[in-house]
Amino acid sequence: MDGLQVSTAVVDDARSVVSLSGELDMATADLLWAELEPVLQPGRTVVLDCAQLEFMDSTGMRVLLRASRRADEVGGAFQMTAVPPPVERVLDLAGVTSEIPRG
Amino acid sequence: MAEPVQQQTAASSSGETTGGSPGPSSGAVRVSVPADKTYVALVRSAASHLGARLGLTIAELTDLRLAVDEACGVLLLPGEFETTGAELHCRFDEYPDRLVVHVSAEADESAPDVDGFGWSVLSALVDELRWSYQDGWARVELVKRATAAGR
Repeated sequence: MDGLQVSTAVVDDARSVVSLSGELDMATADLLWAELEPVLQPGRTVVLDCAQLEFMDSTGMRVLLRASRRADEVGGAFQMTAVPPPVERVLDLAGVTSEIPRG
Repeated sequence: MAEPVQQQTAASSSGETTGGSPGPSSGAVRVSVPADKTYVALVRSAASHLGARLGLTIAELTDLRLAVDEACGVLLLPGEFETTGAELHCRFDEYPDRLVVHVSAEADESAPDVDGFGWSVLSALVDELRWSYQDGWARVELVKRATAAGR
């Protein structure tokens, strides 16, 4: 069980990139939220780099939706980039593909 | 609201879901793990291995792995079955053209959230899906078929 690795890079005052590696599931979703919540700030764009994300389930997806809502509430932005097919599949089946912009 | 599920009136002991089909290729594979979210990755791995044996395509394997994960979630996540047991029991029956997966645990009388993301994703991933609650046991059963292209 490899779990999930999360690394956050602050690019500049307006942009952070959060890179995921491994599996975002019901066991690791809380870890991601703990990393995302502090960087979802007014005027800041948070880009979630999913290139190394191998798996996501509906619990993991809910964290992404929560992050997107939080960004909207505080006047920031939340985007996903390099979304692999298995991750895209979950968003598609849940009918939420359009709710999270792509960076 | 749509009623995509039926409550079984009798517990299935054989895993048969379609009459007249060939029986399982071999004995059932059983995987029991602690009823804890941490161990679901292990169940996913088992499902991937068995799906590959069945000759599923990459896309079908992706769906099987997700489906088995979501089925475990129905027994482990809040707002779903209220599992009380310490163990999650998974049984995989291998047929020539499909894999039948049962996930079960001891639970208080309760039901899955069939309007939630988990169940709706799950139902889109598999060929057959049902849940039951009987005699203190909550159970989710799913069937994943292999397309000819994968075999």
